[in-house]
Amino acid sequence: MADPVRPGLMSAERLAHWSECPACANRQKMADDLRTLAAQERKREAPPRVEAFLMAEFRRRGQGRRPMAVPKPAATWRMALWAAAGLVLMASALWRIPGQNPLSVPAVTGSAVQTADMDDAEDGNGFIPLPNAEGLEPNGDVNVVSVEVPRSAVVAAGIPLADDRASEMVKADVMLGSDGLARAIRLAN
Amino acid sequence: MRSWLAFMTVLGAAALAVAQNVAPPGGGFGGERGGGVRGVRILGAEAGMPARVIKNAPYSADLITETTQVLADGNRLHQTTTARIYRDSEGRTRREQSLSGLGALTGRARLPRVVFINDPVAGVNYALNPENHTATRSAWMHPAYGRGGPPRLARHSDDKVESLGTETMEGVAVRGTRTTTTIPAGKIGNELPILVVIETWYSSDLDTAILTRRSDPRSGETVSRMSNVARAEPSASLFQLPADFKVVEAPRPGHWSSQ
Repeated sequence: MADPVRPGLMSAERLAHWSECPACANRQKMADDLRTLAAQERKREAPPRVEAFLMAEFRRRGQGRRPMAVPKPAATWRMALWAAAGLVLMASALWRIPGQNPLSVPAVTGSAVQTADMDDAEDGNGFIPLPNAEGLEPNGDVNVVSVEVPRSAVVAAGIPLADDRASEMVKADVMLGSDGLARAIRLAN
Repeated sequence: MRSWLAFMTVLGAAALAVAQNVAPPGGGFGGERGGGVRGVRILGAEAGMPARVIKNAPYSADLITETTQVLADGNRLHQTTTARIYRDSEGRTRREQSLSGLGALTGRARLPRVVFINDPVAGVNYALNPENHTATRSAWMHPAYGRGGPPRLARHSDDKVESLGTETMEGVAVRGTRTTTTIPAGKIGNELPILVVIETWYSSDLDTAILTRRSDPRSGETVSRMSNVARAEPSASLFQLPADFKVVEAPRPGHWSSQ
């Protein structure tokens, strides 16, 4: 995204205005800070279509607004302010996307898992039998499906997880028996 | 103030758009499209090794599995999952599996079917996603489950086995067996003995069960029934990787066999 506010473009008039107008000076400072932050978040740049949507929305909402005291420079750095703030908030949104957040490590309380008639509560590969699921047939085939589901769904399936962050998404491998029914689960991370 | 409200509205919409447009990692299998658990996505699949390779007994059939659980408060849980299965004379198998068997994990989400192919001749397994034309390939291994293996049923020496005679189901002769396993009182904290009854109607010609009924007070009743059984040789193309599918190698052989 082009940065329309550059110190090199500042006119003496604008500098003089900012020196007399604390509100404008504060806005400029905020724009600088946000630009710095946006530069740090460059790796989390929004997809082009979202950026285009944002820019179009900025333009649409910018039409017909009452002009500021110094129209051209104000419009320029106001746009920069919005764009930078948009980048920051979108970076925040990306950070909240499940699976992207390194803090979202699911915790399993294995001791509470009902083992049914399986040999072990957890096999050697990290799979935990689903409570109330049948055991696998000795000569039954198995397949595995990887899913991303809310933690609350894992809890609903009978696996006790910490009940905070219930809406957070977790990745899991689910072992299916030869009848297609889920038998065991292994949480990622 | 009004401009800031508008600003926040736009950003909220943008954040939502971003959150909804991030592609599943690794070319995922798509997400839920029905009224199921919100946000469920199928990220991938991997075909497991078959427990046995059965040659010279080709067939195709639909397999319908229904489970019914009655909870202590009288509530009932009912679940149905379907699959179309094929086996050729060389022992290759193909299973077109619905994912409704994921149960509470996905709720009533309408998820795509997954196709599992086991090819002992080529020495490869595939999990196909017909929706986005991707396939996960995993290597054939011996022994079937590799190190560790999946959890298995405990063996009970006091199982009671009864013959139920012979019948014809779906045009094939089947032999019925009822196996009753008793878990003695106190073994798993139970005050009374627990009876697990498994009734199997097995076809020697196809070397597979046509009907299985299992009753366990802990997991309810499960009935798996084959229908539309055809003994003709399935088309060879069913066991081949479609040419236009993009292949992804499984992270490691067996995926679940080595953590």
